[in-house]
Amino acid sequence: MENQKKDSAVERFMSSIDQLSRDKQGKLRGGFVAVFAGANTGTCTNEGTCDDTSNADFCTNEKQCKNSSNDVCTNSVTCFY
Amino acid sequence: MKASKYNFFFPYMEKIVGFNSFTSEFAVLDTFLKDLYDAAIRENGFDQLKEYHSDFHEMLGSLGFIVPDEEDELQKVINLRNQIDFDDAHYHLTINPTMNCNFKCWYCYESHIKGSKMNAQNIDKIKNAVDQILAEQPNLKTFHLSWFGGEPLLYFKDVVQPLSDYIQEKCQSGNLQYSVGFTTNGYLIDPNMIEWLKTSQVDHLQITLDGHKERHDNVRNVNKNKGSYDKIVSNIFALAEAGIKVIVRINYDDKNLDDAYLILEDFMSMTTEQKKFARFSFHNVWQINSPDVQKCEDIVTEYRKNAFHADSYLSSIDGVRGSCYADKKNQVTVNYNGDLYKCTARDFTKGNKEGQLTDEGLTWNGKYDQRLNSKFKNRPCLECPIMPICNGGCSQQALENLDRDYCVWENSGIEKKDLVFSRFKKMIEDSEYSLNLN
Repeated sequence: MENQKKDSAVERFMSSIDQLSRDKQGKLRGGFVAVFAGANTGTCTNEGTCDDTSNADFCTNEKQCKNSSNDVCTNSVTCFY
Repeated sequence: MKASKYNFFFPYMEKIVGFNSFTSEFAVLDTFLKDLYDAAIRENGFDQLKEYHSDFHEMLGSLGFIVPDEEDELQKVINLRNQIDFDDAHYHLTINPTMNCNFKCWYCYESHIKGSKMNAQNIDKIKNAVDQILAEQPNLKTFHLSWFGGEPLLYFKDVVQPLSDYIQEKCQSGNLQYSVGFTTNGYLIDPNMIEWLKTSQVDHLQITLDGHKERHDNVRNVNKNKGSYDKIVSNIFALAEAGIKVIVRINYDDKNLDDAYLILEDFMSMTTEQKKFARFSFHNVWQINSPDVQKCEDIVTEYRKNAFHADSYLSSIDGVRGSCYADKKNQVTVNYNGDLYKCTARDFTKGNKEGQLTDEGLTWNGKYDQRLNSKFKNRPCLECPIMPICNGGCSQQALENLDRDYCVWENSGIEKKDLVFSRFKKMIEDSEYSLNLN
């Protein structure tokens, strides 16, 4: 499975996590706060709602989970940093 | 708190992907956090983790990766299975009007019987059985009728239409939600049939392609000079246009998988509206033990990129929540001659028979109870981290392996990680390509 195509949706998803990882040393995308280096948490926690608008970056379905705390996140992937 | 026994982790692109197979939740972890998790297990210290990193601890709890110490997780899965498989709010009746078929696919497991056709007596017995089920099961809320075979549409007017109409009317008068589905080769569908389907509460038709035109026509042909691909594809378009859902099952072997790209081209002219009614489902034929999982996953991705709903066999496995109809108490398959079965994936022989349709209704033999009690007996499954999504396959596989420890994936070339990754990929791709519609 490691030889996924470079432009696959899964790779783009994983790369978006890397971007967040790099950003955390400076201004964090989405504005969430680092708990400590290497250990921030996203809060699009499950298939319910995005309970923190500032963490919408963690929901891969950004179209549906971007602006409102009541938006439905249809993707239950959670990323921890 | 303790680590769930249903956690499954694998490294991917310098991260760790975690999956809890009971909650079906994924977590992508920085390796540092996985180290914290492992340290907590080693030192029996999830309480310490809470002090050290409360957010991570909270997330692990909310996603089901850690559970209370006293929790019996196996019992939770058994309870869930019982709730689903013994649910008395739903009934599923499958009928084979015939064991005959207009095609002779090389991989078919059925013994076709020329001239076989459900007679008037058995049609009446089915009507009586349905009346009895509706009268004796006050908790019923839904009734699903499936047409199987043989090719069920060989006897559309004589069997399918009158029985469907009867059951639909009975359900409506009993305030039950009724639906009907078909497993058909799709060749015999015509405009009149589609008109009837439009008013008959059709849930879906499953229609199979065996490759692109040349290969398909080699498997499914009317005669040496007349194939069926063009007509079947045309019928799928007509059904989608009529707003009737079609599951296009693509059967692949070790030679025809690349044909899926050509099939995709044939469906590219579908409108956005038509695409909503077509779902592509990929299955390797059972004679192929080691299917090319990666190639199939790449093809499924290509379909999703083009806004088609598509599932690989691996991504659709859900052995507890999505258990097979044959695993459920409230399901029966009635053969044209009145023999009763549960599973439709084995030949309808006398030896496989599980009961008889009589004037008194459904009379089961001992196999019925044996099947319903066959799960949670296989030791490897009881220790497996992905048991809640696999559960050793279906009740048929459990019955066929009662006397030995087994894993349905042994010698298949498929690893547990492949199942989990396929789910992970489906979730991301459905999201990326806006395919979250049902």
